[in-house]
Amino acid sequence: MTSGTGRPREQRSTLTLVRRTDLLALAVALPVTLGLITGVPVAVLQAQGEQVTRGPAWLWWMLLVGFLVAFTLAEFLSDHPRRLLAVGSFVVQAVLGVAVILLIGQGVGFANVILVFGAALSCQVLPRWATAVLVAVNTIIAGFATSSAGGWLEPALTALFYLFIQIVSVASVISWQRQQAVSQDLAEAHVQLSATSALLADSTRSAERLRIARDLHDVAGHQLTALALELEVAAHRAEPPAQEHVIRARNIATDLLDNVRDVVSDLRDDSGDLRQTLERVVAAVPAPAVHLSVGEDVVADEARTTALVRAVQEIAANTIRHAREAENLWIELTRENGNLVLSAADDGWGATDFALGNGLRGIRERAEQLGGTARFLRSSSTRGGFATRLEVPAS
Amino acid sequence: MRVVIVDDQTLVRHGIRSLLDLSEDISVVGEAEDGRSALEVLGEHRPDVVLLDLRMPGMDGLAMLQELRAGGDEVPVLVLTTFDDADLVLGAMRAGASGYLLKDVTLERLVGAIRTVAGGGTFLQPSLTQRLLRAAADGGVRGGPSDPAMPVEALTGRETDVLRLMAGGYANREIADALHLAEGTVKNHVSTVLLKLGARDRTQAVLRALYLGLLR
Repeated sequence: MTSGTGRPREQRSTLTLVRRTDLLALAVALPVTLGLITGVPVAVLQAQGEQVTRGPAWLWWMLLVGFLVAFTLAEFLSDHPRRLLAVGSFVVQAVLGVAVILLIGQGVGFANVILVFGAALSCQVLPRWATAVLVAVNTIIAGFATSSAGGWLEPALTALFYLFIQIVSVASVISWQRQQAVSQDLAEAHVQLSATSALLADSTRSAERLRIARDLHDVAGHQLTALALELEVAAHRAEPPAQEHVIRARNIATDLLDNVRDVVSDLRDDSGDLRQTLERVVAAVPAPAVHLSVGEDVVADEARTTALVRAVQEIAANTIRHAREAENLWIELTRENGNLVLSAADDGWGATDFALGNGLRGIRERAEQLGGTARFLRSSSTRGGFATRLEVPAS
Repeated sequence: MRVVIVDDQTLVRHGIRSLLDLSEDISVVGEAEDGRSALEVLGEHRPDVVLLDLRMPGMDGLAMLQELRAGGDEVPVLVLTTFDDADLVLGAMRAGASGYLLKDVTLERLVGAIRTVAGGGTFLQPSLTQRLLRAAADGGVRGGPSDPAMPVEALTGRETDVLRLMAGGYANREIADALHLAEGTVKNHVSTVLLKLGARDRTQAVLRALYLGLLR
């Protein structure tokens, strides 16, 4: 029994964080564009027999291909938890890119665009001050790479032009990053709100049921009992043909009383619909896709329901906040050996130096209050995600 | 046999009284509508059996029973209940009641139960036991089931089956038929169960099992 990706689109939250596939398309399009912009003019001129590059042509092409590969790699590693890999790959592509630019004859093609793309990528990889330095360096390179035949004016104007373009692209990347952060905060708040309102609905329903059970118990129970007793007396005193009817009436009264007892028992069985409540919480998570599975024999009273719902809410919020690249979150609630067990895992790159935040500590506190335990597992490899295991006694 | 009825509902008292009037050897010598006045009535009339409702305003049945036993009065008490309030009923048994019944009983069963407890025995109405078992399975009986001073050796699966049928009020022959065993084998199982639970008879064994939540 799963929800999550199986649910129709319109029921999911309308907030969507940018999906991985969109980013993938963009990540491939960029190097392809760069390759074309830089390579096509050079290829055309070389086909016409001109010497376009400084040094051998094959060296330049090798450098270009190397740069494109390095750029693609740097894009994919840009948010890797091991910063060394991210920054290292960025530096490699930067060096190769500069080599490609410097080995081109002056005034050929738009190789300087490499610098602009590099500056934009640096916003994902480097701290802001490093990006600023990089922009300055790129500007100087762009100026030097221009033909200086016309004195200092042309290189200066070119440099200024590239400075302007870099600033625009860096600004738009930063703006996109900010918007992502806001979307994430909003998604978290939404999940919390959803959990709270689901719990409220559940407790209102419970209160209603208890009220009905109490009314049945106090009023109907006593009167039906008295009725059954009187009919029993009458059955013993009655003469045929009336006696048969009185006996039957008595049986009906006892059956009715039994049914009322069953109803009161059911109503008092304060389990609510845990699965439904959890599905409500999970529906509010825009990304990653949540797969929820609740065992058939899971029942929980109000205290346990609250603890479980809050736990699922925190786990979902935590995944939104911290799990980079997580596409899926699996949540399973089962009954084992008289305990209710909640286990959750995501497939993102859980941050490896993670400290237990307030929300997760809250899960542990609630579990311990109910006499249970909560364990959190960070995978030691960078690809393994974050897992939670919560166990409380079923009653 | 002289009986006192304690119940806060007038209609119910009247109904039980009318029922018992049909029986020749049982007479109702007193009535009370809460625990406090019940103690007075008991002191005055000294009946052979007390029919006791548990849910009453003021001093409830359980409190009355506890005070009664504390005062040294060993009169047999039969607990009457409308609903399967597991906590209350089992609490009353632990406090010294001799048995329990649902209030909408037939005359025959009521008379039989009264005679049994008057003679010093215990009477557990099987259908109420079933309800209590179900209530225990769903949410557990609150108020601590087990007597810490009493160690219990674990029952085997077969012994648990026999105990379950004992709780249903079945005789050894019927248990043997249900489980496809010889009657002698069933008797052995019953003895082992009594031994393991430290019970002196079947009804006490069933009660212990309920307290301990052994039958789920």
